[in-house]
Amino acid sequence: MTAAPPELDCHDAARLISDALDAAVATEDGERLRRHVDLCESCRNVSAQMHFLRRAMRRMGSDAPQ
Amino acid sequence: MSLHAEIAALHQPLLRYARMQLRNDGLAEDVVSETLLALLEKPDAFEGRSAYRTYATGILKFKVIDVLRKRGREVHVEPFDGESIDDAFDALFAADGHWQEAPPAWQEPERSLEQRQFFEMLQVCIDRLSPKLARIFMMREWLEREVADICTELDITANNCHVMLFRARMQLRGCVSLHWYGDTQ
Repeated sequence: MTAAPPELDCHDAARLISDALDAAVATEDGERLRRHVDLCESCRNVSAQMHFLRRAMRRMGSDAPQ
Repeated sequence: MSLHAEIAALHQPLLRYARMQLRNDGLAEDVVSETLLALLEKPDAFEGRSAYRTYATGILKFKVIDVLRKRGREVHVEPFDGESIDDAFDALFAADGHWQEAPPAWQEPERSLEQRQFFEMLQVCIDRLSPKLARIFMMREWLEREVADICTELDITANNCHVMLFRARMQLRGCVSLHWYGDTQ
């Protein structure tokens, strides 16, 4: 029997949120991240902000308002 | 505005993006000139200023990617040699890995996408990143390159690339929080 992996702290969660924007993260990490974000409002905010920055960057210089 | 005036007005914004990516004024001028020439050769391709700018930026991105591919590993990017070299970054987190100060939500962020000033502020925040962070961030988020391509082109490891993107995103969200939403976090 193997021990359950330790829960993420906010630093690890923020790093995984960023990594997941660039590549698929391991299933186990994805589950740990979901558990953390479900319980942590700060990391939910940071996740929303990183995703928002991506949307903003994709618009930058193209259909961004003049 | 005449077509020539519209195209002339695109010169500076396009040059700014090209410079940030290429870090070479001559090359940046070249890709912008080629982009503007391509626009002049097909003046009827798009109507409307916003669509025109989108079209021009799309052409520029392809040309920048082409130059980056050709230069390939001539461009040396110093990798981060660890995750704890940036005091300001480390100060975001307590020793137990939790936030020193809880990051608050941004109010109605989608509305800011309709505001020119938001994009000006975002550009200022990008300019405040270190050159290597800005370059990798723009390669990923503006040129929409895959991390594997960025790693190959810059000859850095995937882990280094992820670390740099993480730091760039964290610094940018902090800058946007402060300068657009008035938060200290």
